[in-house]
Amino acid sequence: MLTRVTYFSGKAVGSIRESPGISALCAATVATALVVLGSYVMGLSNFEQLALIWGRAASVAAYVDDKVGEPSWEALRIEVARRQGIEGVALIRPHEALTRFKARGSEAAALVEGVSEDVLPAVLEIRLAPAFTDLAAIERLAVELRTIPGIADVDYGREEFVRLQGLIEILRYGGLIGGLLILLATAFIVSNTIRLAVYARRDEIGIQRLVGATAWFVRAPFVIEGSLWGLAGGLGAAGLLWLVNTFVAPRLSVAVGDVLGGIEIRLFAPEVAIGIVVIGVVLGAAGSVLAVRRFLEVDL
Amino acid sequence: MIQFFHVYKTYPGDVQALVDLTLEIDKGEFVFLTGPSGAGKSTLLRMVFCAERPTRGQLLVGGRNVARLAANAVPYLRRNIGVVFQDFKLLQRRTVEENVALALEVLGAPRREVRRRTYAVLKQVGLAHKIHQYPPRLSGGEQQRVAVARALVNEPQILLADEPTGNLDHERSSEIMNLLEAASARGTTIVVATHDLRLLERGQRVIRLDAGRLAA
Repeated sequence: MLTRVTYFSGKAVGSIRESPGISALCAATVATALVVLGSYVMGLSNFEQLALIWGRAASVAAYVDDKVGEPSWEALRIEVARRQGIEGVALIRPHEALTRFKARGSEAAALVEGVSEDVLPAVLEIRLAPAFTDLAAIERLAVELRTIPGIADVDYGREEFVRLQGLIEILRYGGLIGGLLILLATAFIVSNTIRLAVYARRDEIGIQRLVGATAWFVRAPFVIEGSLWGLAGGLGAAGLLWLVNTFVAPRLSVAVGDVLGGIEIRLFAPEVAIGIVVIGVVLGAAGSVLAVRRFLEVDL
Repeated sequence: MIQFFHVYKTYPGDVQALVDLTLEIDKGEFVFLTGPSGAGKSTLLRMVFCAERPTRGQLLVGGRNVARLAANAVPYLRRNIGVVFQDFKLLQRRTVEENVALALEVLGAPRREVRRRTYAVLKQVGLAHKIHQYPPRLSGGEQQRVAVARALVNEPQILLADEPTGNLDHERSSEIMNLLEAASARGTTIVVATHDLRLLERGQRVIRLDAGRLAA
């Protein structure tokens, strides 16, 4: 068994040495296809992160009951801040709320012209922890907050949140379908490129079959060769994404970060890199199996 | 060793390559197959090594019915059949040794055994000194001897040769025929398809085909 593996590996490496141009072309094709796939996955991840940031920006607001006097507001803020999933709580006093509203623009200022700050309640502006992005969890938190004596109502922008969650779901499922389509296209392109390499060696395959080689004897070196092309392509693609992530992504984050809610753009993740390399190896091997199949019948 | 029973081979377009062919070739026999171009000689040989299947009839090779042989059993049948072609069909980017060794490598023979037997058969065909040469650097006669060595290296029960001397002069043709006769003397069944009438004078059995049928 070991002898066979050594034999097939030797044949595969020998073939790569013999045709470095074709091997480089195959590896480059795999790398290109995987860069597209990796960029798509990372783009999707960034978009999802952006959606979550926007979701968290619509923070939870707890309205303090009118009957609770100003001296108790700070104690209430501390009480709320103790709850799990809450990163911070800011106390917005009525006059601050009014000032903020007026600052929105002249139309907003005109709207509250003559309104006394007494009619506005104090508000506890709650900032959620980064991992706290699930609507059901926020709903549970809202229910819990309403049970605290002194809290009159809790607003967490349910409708906006539901819309956002819908968007994230679309991104996830749409992304899955999109990812599968890109994967299929990648497999198709890789298989066709490998077919070119196999076509160049069809005579050898024909003679191997003539002297009694089984289909797997013919396939094995090509499968190893395809896996090596896939490995090289996968490592190349992961390396390229890492370079872009290291040198381009930080500048991109600075350039568009403010507009996009302070998002830190990431174009590389270790798990995506591992996935790319594994997909590269599998694509290379599977592409070789498919490409060799049509040349297995002897036509001498 | 090889038995055709009412074998027909029809290609698309109703082209009949073999028509109701019945013949038997015994173990160790040396047979020439002759006839005009298109008589069905190559088709007959291709059927024996399973590159073609009969349209009708039965073909037994070494007791196995080729017409019903499963695709995954074909390689194992071919390991008992050596084939030599007019155009040699050598791998141009492989050395003489690698070309011949291929027939043993597919059997999974140990590397040392492969080298020993490859050297022995190349010595037998008089090419041991060219073991590391590449086919394009050899003459036509030498290339055909490499092809014969590849066909004989795993000591097949049957050797098929399709116009093996078609590209060679008389002297080189005689060398190739001597190698085939030597293999026959060791018990290998030899079937040679040829146009070369001089070869038919060597005294072996001659089967004539005409338009896919046995000629009188």
